[in-house]
Amino acid sequence: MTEHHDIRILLPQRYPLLLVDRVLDLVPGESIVTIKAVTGTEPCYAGIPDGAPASSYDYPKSLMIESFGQSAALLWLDGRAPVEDDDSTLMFIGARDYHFTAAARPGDVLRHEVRLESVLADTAFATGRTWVGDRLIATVTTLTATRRPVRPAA
Amino acid sequence: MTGIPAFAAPLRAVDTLDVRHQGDDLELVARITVDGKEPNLRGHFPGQAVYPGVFVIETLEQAMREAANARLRTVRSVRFLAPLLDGDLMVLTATAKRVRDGWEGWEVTGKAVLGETTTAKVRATFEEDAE
Repeated sequence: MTEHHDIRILLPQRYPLLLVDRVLDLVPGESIVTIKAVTGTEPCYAGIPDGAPASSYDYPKSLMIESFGQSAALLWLDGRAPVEDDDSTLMFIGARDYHFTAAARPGDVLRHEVRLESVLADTAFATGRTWVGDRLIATVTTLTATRRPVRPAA
Repeated sequence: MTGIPAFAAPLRAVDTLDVRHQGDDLELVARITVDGKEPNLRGHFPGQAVYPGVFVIETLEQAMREAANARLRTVRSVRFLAPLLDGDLMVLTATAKRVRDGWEGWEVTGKAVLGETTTAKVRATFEEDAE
C-alpha cells in the first residue's frame, strides 16, 4: 500500500490538484487500485450558496478524470520517482469513451481500477473503471498519456 | 454574453460565454484566461502553472450547463494537442446538436485554440439535468 506522502514523491501535482489519497494495490506493468475521498471541504464546494440543489455537490467530472489520470500515472511510474534533471512531464494527452454512470458527492470514496493496456515508445494506454462501494461511477475505454516537456522550445 | 456562472467558483473554467441559438442547436464560445495565481493552478504545477487538460472538459461542461442546463454524460473523444500556460487566452468554440432519438440530450463537438494553435479537440454527449 502506498500512502499519501509517497504519492507526493511520485507525482508533481500539489494541493488542491493532487487527487489520489492512497494506492490500495499495484501490480507493476498491469494494474493499480487507488482511492480518493471526496469531502464537503473540497475547495470546489466553497462557493456554493445555501439552498443550492443537491446536484451542486456532484464531484466535478473534470476532477474525477484527473484523479483517474493520476492513478494511471502512478501505475506507469511503477513506484519510480521522476528523474531530477529530466524536464519532461507525464502528460495526459487524450481519452476515448469516458462514460459517467452516476455522481459522487461528499462522503463518497472514489475507487479507481486502472489497467495498463500497452506502452508504445513514450506513450501509454490505460483503461478502467471508477466505483463508490459497489456503485459504478464511470468507465473509460482508453486514456492516453505521454512523457514530454510542457512546452518544447521553439 | 453572460458573466461568470455562479457555479463556476472556485473551479473557474469560464470567464465569458457567448451562446447563439441555431434552430434547436447551439453555438457556444467560451473564453478563459489562464491565471497562474488561481488556487488550482498553484498545485498544477508548483512553479509552472499549466491549465490542466481536464479543465478544457470543465470549460465545456460549465458552458453547456449555463447554456442548456445540460450535464456531461460521455466524453467520446478528447485530444490535448498543446498546453495552456499562465496568461494564455483559451477560446473554446463548440456546436451542440439536439438529440431526441431514444434519449434527450446534445451531441457536442468543440475545439479549443490559443491564437492560431489548436490546443484541444473534444466530442461529447450531454443530457438534460434531471433536477
